[in-house]
This record gives sequence, C-alpha cells and structure tokens, in this order.
Amino acid sequence: MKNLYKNLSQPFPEEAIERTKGSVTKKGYDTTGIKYQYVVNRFNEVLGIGSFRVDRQYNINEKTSRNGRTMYECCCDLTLFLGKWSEGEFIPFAEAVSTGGHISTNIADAKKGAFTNGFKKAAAFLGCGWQAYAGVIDDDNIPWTEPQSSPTPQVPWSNNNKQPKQKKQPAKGRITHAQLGKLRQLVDQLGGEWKDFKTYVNQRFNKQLQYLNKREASDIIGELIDKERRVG
Amino acid sequence: MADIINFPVEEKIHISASAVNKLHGCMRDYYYKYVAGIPRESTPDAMLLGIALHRALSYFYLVLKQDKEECSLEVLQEVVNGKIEDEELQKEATRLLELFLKDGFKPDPEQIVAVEQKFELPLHDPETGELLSTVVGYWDLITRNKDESLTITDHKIVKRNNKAKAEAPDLQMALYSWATKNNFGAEKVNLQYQDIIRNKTAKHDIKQITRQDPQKEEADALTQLRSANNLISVLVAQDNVKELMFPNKSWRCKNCTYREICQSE
Repeated sequence: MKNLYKNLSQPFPEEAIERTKGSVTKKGYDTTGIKYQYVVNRFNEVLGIGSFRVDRQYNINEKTSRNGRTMYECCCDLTLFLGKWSEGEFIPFAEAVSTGGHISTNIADAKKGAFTNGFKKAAAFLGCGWQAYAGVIDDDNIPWTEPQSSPTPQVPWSNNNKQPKQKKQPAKGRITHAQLGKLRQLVDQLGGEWKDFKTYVNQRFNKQLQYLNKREASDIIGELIDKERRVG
Repeated sequence: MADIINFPVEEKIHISASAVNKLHGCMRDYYYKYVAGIPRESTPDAMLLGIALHRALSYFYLVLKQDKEECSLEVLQEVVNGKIEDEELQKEATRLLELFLKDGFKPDPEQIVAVEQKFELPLHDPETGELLSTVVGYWDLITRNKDESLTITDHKIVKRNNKAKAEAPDLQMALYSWATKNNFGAEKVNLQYQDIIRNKTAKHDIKQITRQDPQKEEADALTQLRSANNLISVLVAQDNVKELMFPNKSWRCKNCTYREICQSE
C-alpha cells in the first residue's frame, strides 16, 4: 500500500500542469492544476485498467448572469474507489469522497467541469496530484465563454444587473482578528484542514498567516468566498 | 468573532516579551522566526542547556508540590539527558544541578501556586478598546507568601553574575507581574531571578528585583508591547517587509540561530 501511494503521488511532467490567469477565467485569481487526463492515466498506469470507479451525484441550479443569460451551476458529490474485480464484483480497498463545482452556459459542460474538478480533488486525497492542492484548492479552471455579442460578465451567477463594487482593501496594517476568524470559518466550511491552509499561506506569501497584511487577508477571504459560492 | 480567543495561541495574533526583545535586538532575526516562520538552523549549546535545565527545575518543583519531596540528582539528570545528547553538556548540566540541589530556592510545598504555567491575556488599545493582540508567556514558578502576596521566580542560566540586572525595570518581569495580578487576583507581586551562574566554580544566586513603581512598570511594559505590535502591523503592510526588517550586525550574530541564511542573503 505504501508503494502504491508512492507511485500515485509521483510528480507530474510539466506538460500535465495547467495554469490559468484570473483575468481569463474571470475568477479574479490564478490557478495551477493537473490536467484531468493525466490523473486518469496515472491511475491506469499504476493500478491497471478498470481498477478504479466513481460514484457520483449531480445537483444543478439555474442562475442568471449579469446580462440576463441563463447559467448552470453544477455541484458534483463523488466517491472515488480504488479496487479490484473479483468474480464479476468490484472489491474496493480505498476510497475518497469529494465535491466539485462548475458553472457554464450549458448543462453538459457544467457537469463535466464539476466532475473533473471533484475527481481531481478525490484523486489528490489518495496522493495522485496532491502537489496542486495546498489547502485552498482550485483547478476548476476552464473559462466559460459567452457569445461574442455580449460583454463578459465579471460575476456570471449574479442575480441582479448591478455590477458589484470591487472594493480593494488597503494594505494598511496587519490581519485583524475578525479576518482571522472569517478565514477559519471559510476553511472549515470548505472542508479544508486548517493546518494545510496555514502551510499554503506560508508558501504563497512567504510569511505566516498571522503576519499577512489586511489586503492580503482580504484577497484570500474573497477567493474562499468565491470558491464557497461555487461549491454551494 | 469572540471565539477567536479560544483558538490555539499559535493561530492568534500574539506577542510575547521575548518577541519584543528579539525585535529590539535584530529585526531580521524577528522576521525569520516570527514572520516567515523559518525553523532554527541549529540550537546553540547554551540554549540547549538552558532549555534542559528549565525542564529539570520544572520537574523538581512539580514533584515538590505534588509529592512534597525533593527529587534526587539521578532523576533530574534523567530529565536533562532526555534533551541533551552531548556528554560534555550533560556533565555541565550535572554540575549545575548539584549546585541547585545544594543551594537552590526551595519553598514550602504548600506555597507553590504554579510551575511552568502558560498565560494568555488580551492586549487592548486603551483608547478604543480594540483587541490588538494576545499576550503570551510562561511563568517558571509562582509561590504564595505568608502575607498573601505572590512571588514570581524566573530561572536564568547565565555565564556572568550581573548584579545590576535586578536593579533596572525589565519588560518580561513587569509583564509577568501584570499577568499574575490578572490571573490570580493578587494585589502585590514580588519578582526574583534564580540565577544559576556557569562560571568556573558555579554559583547560585537569588536576586530580588527592585520595584520602585510596579504599576508604572507594568503600564510601561504594556505600552512597549502595543508599540511593538503597531510597528509590526505597519511593517507587514509593506510589500518589502523583509528588506525593512534589516539585520542588526553585532556581536550577537555569531550565536544567531539564523546566521547561515542571513549571511547568504
């Protein structure tokens, strides 16, 4: 089992990594992730074909974009099983539960995006692609596109026509207790590990969480709120 | 947001006397330890010895309080040896423990109130009442006197006998006094150092700390803490926080636990 984990958690080649810019995905932040097919290939190569299966459940909500277009927000709860077939029956020896989310103008893309998003996270629980996840995960990074005629909305799932004000928090001062509390609450709601989140912050900002400035704290709170909205 | 107070201290915005002293000594040292959270490259022998002897003394006072008897040298050696592997350092520890067992401060077991106890208290802005930070520290030993006053004893493992140290106000001890009044409701708090001096002959000394105006000393200590907290707050708001927290090149550098990383930058 130890060897299996070692093999699954090996680093991926550069071509397997996809990076997106927040300005393109309209999420307001950049992401780094492992391409879905490379994760699937890793399972097939390490475990053999047919040695994993996924149970999934979708939940789809309709939203209206800023310019009145219908959007589909999909949430996918899934369980990834690793196992072997024996006498026509799949016998699992490991499992990971995860949730993925995606928004698109059509249901199929929303479902595909939500599934791959959740699948990659579940795979990371088993060591495969863990490198992409350091507490605040997001590699649901396929930018959705609207027809050329309509301007790209900043908040696609907004229910009203008002553009929300992007208030930039000044860097003035150190993270507040209120911000620290909010972060803890959000990480908890997203099912993340506080310890992992602190490590992520340290790696991203080169400083410990309690030494972030107010703007950095505000930015990361915004990202988590955004993510929470998507996951539902 | 009140539940932030119940977070483990390492997750809170917190400050301590040793952090403030580090900030005064060398800002880059502070940066490495507290802001960036970089683990120490190495632990100097003197620090290791100090940690091990503090552990042994804590053990001694806990046994004295709970079992009302004194530990043997062998037991304390075992406590020390759990922390120190180097034989020379173990010998040095034994020499100092023998001295402590012979001359050390030994209160009546009934007098012992707290041994190696942590405190956490909120630090507020006196004008706005805003919660600025959490003050944390450890009391080495607190004992109750016959007149109901409390005495804080801080163990120091030192190389030289610095008699003047007890005559000037000290941030750490003033803070500990404030915390003791808050946590134990004591009206009067006495302060003393238990010095174990590592010179040729080894010497033990109890130094009563002279207190001219305890209330002012405590208020000054809190002001220092607030100032340090504000300074850090301003510094971390800058993009080039590391450059702003510049190294203070001094004789301390040769024993600094971040010497290599500091020199390489």
